[in-house]
Amino acid sequence: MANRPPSTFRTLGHFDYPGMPAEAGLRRWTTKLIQRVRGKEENPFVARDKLRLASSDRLDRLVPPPACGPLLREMQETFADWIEEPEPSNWMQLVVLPPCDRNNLVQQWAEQQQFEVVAAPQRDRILTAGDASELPAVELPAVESAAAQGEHVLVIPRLEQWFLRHRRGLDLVRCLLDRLALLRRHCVVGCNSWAWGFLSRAVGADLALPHPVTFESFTTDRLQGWFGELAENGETEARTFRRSLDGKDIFATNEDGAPQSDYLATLAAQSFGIPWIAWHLWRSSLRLGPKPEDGGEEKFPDEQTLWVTEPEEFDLPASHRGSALLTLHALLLHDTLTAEQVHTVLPSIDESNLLTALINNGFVEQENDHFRCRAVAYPTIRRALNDAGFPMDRL
Amino acid sequence: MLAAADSLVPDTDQAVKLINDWKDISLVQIAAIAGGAWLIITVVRHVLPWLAQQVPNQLRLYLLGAVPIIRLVVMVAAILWIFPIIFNVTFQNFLVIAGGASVAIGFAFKDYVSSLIAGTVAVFERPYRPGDWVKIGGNYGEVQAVGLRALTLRTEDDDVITVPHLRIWQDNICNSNDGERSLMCVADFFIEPDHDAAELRAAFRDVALTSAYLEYDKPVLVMLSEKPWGTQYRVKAYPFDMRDQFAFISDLTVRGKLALAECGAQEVSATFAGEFSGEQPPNSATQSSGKTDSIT
Repeated sequence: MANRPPSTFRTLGHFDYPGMPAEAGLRRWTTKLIQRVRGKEENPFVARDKLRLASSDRLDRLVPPPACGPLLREMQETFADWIEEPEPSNWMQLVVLPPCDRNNLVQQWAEQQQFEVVAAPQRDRILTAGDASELPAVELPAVESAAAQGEHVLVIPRLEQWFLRHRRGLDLVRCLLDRLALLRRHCVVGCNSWAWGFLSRAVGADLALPHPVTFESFTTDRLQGWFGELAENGETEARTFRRSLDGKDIFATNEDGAPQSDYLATLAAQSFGIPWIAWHLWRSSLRLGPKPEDGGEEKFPDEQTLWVTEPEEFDLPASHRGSALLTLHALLLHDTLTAEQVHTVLPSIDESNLLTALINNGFVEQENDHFRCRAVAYPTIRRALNDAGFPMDRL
Repeated sequence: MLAAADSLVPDTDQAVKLINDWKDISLVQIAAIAGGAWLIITVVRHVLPWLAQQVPNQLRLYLLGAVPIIRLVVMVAAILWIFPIIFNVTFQNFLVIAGGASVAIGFAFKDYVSSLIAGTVAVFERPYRPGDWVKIGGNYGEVQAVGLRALTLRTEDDDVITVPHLRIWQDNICNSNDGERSLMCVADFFIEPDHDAAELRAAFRDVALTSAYLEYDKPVLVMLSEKPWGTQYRVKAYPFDMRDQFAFISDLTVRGKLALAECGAQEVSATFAGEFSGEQPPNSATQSSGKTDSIT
């Protein structure tokens, strides 16, 4: 993979969601059925409860960050020629990325290239600025001054942080898009795919930014290449990654180079081709073998085995499913929200303990006073929102 | 005389053969067919609605809509199977049975049979399907089941109303979603005339666009019209799931009221509106749902 030239980003609408291997899909359904009928798991090669969780430090050595793989390189490759053009046909470029991007890919790229970054305003300012017509004058000078200076590329890393889904929460992003449309300077805007779907509808953002791009989906081959690179570091070298379900070596290949285990294909489908979701699922699935003193039997005594368990299943609060989905949808749309902002953007329903329940059930995590969806729960959340008929993201 | 008597013999034989000999009629077979048909229909009536709750929302209406079709097919198949077991099927016998049945239906079971026929027509014409939201004769609700003789509606107040199919001969059937997953919801606001209409219209539009229930792929419209008592605003939008229609309209109403207060507009008071006969709003803000619904 290292020898292959980096891919470039593609036009939005051509993202290939990897399909679930038929056998894996069938196995998933039968496992669920067996669990429902018998109340316990099908007999795996190694039972999950006999395996040990690795510490956070250990995981950092086994699966080192960043979670975005080769995307920084690919992003630079995508825009390299455009940046050099003195009079490009499009002064603005939009990068649409799936949610749960904790690496701030666009910002990281901008800082790496030493481009000028325009920070988003405090969300609370969006609603509390008083007269909506005065708001842009308060919050947009950063854009104006940045635009007036230098020839460098201007980068707005997270468009989703410039609005709140509230009647008065759209004025600022409208003004921002209007100002950006008048700039004659290279400008790269990043936006979360869920927010992009909403902004396209609510403020016609797709008219202002008509050529969005996104990365190429992480299929089995791409995951194999990337995780293979991760496995080359010192900690995981000479270790074998085996699936706890069937004991197969995940990276072993056939004579034709195809993986013997369908784990990576399953992971690609479960993560919807999103690298950071796959990275988090992979990281959360790694287990150490049982200790001999605990009575654990060594299945492969001649090798150092790391076990890979099946991804965790999450359950929505059964009696508050509708409200929980509305909350999760709002969090995906805005990336992060405070508890107060969650109540602002949701219908006036009394669900005061819902965020706590969602944290307890593993869907949401809290950082300071901000809540956001957990990357490992994103596959479950996306499926549940799709099944319930919610407007989906656009990639 | 003898010749006349002879000519009667074949008729008597024909009449005797209208029903097969008792010894040739297998009651066990008839019971098995009827029981089997009943079992299939019962299973379908219970399993498909249950399944419709489990599968993705996109498939729900297809599963619900399949229930009356499967039931009709199974019943027709069972009748066609049982009929020749009991009756001696000839053209003459058909005329005899049809004549007798016509008299019975004409006098005793006219409405019942009319409903059965209308029910069959409804399966093919599809003026309503299970899961649709319809308004029949002033009753608005979700079609819970389409039976042989009648359909059942569940209203927003959780009343279950049984409506005979024969209503489709006489009444207009107002179907709000017509087999689709969403339907238009309308929130009405009645505002005193002295206000900035452009600002308020934009505010109402943003109210709809920022609702958590909004379906993005459908239009959002704000219509306004002048009345003797003021200005009527109608905010029209679609929720992504029609089962959320009342929550959606309530959300539009609550946030719409906040918006109009922030814009400095005032709702029409009932006293003021009452001075104008014929153009009187029922409340300061009303809600309605359904594509052809009107303010009542």
